[in-house]
Amino acid sequence: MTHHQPSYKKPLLLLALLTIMAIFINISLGSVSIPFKEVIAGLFTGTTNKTSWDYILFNYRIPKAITAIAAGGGLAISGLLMQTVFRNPLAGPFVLGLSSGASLGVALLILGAGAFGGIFGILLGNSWSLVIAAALGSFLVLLAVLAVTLKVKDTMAILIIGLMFGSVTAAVVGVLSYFSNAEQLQQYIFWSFGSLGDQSWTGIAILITCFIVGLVIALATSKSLNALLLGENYAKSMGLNIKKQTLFIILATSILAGSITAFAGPIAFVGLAVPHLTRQIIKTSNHLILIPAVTLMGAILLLVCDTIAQIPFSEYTLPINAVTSMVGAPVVIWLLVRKRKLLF
Amino acid sequence: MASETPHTRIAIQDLNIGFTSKKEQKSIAKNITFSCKEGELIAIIGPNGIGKSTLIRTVTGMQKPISGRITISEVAMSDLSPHALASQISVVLTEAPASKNVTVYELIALGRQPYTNWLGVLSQADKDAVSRAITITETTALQHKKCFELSDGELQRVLIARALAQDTPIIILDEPTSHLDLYHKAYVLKLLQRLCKEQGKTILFSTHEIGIALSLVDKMLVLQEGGISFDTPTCLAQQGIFNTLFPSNTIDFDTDTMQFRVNN
Repeated sequence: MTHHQPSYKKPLLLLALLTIMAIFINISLGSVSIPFKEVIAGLFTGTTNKTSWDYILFNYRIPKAITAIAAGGGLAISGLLMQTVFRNPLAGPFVLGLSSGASLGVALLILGAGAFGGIFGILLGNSWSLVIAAALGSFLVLLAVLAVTLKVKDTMAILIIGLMFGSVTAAVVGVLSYFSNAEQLQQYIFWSFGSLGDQSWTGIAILITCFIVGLVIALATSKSLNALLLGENYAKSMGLNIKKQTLFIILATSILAGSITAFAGPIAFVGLAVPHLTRQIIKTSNHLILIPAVTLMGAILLLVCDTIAQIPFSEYTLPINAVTSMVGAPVVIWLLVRKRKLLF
Repeated sequence: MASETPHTRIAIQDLNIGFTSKKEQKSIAKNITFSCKEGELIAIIGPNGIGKSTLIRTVTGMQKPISGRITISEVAMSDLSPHALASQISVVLTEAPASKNVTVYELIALGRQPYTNWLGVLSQADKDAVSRAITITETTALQHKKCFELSDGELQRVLIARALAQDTPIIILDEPTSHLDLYHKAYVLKLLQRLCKEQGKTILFSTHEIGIALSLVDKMLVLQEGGISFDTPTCLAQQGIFNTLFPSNTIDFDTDTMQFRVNN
């Protein structure tokens, strides 16, 4: 009798290899051309032939690559979690209104300075204030969503409430924009483009910590996520405490999406598209395998998008949010056309 | 030597089922009393909207009763933790699995959740239980398929396999024969009968297939506007319960052949 589950070690190993390749390509390419040999030497010995290369490598490209890995992996995990919890293939980290919350926080800080003046203007001087505003915004929306989750049983209702949060936020941002001057508007729009670069090592340390905490909670809830694939009633009949587990899952998503949006700005489509792409490669619904797989896939996708955004050997950099949308939307369309339906 | 009397697996006493909200209580059916023993196959029948699904949701612990007592394997249901209940009762519901992307093997293996570790990794004992469930339900050829590739009949067998993998003395099914063709209706009910006879399972299911159920089940719970009856099919027929089940100008029941007949 051969009743067995296939092993998923090979595709996971392949994804890990591809991630390493994507890291090397991402670090090697940029506006300044650094020979590949020097990049390798820099990575392994800590120095290159030129101090300017050292500076670019260790203060710009490597921090940016680390941010890309944490952001891509983190957004992909939260997308996967949201699709399972909300039983909706179109769910992503943004549907809970987390990025809307972050946007509102940032908008209040930048644009509110014009409307209200005073304290906001003083805060704006601090480079950390953007991150704090975005994190606070995400966190407040998270609290609201958690409060709703405790009251409303229906996950579909929570999804709609998340979308409504988004609408209200967009409206408030619209009103604030109307009363703002050109300079403030530009600053807000630049934040909304998203940016993986220019992170301080402290910022990266915080981001990585949030990423690891989110990843660990996600892995710890993987058994519950698997049960939820059958629906809440089946999950309950197998002894699952739905409320508690949903709370943990939403917490993991919020920590991941909130911290990433705070540091790198809103990055679209990674959370939605990566889980679907991963399911094409790894034919399982087991979250214990899917979570590491989407993490690697998300990292690869964002590293590749960032490489494209740099437009190698030119001085221009495209906004990362625009590149992920340009890559992500066709991927979703292609999947829909090929498979005729999106399953989670 | 007299054989040991079989254990009572489910005991329901004066159960009043329905929905409770802050403002009001809406009772759907009341004064329900019956019990199911080890190895018994029991059908719940009655017209749409009489409370079959509500009764099943209440007995499986998904919904609280308004009043009355439910005892599962001699323990009051209110004293059972969700986890303890999961090792007593497994279910097959009318709703399809939320994800259609799950493979058959994965779906059946999810039945092992009450026994697996915190990460849900299958031990050899778990894999053996899954194998047994696959063999009994004849789903070996389906195990690597995904749920969206299955027919209704195949999906029903897979869902029953998942319940079997959960390895509980009691299995409760909500309309396991709906959407199935005649062959599969008979196949599923005969499978349930075999599980009761061979493995001593207690199986409670709701159905509209009274005709097939009559010849296979040990007892029937008949929910009607006029009241609730619980007995063997033969006794119920003698009491004339089946004659009043449907309007007699459309459907008649023949007590001798134990069959329903449509009036011309």
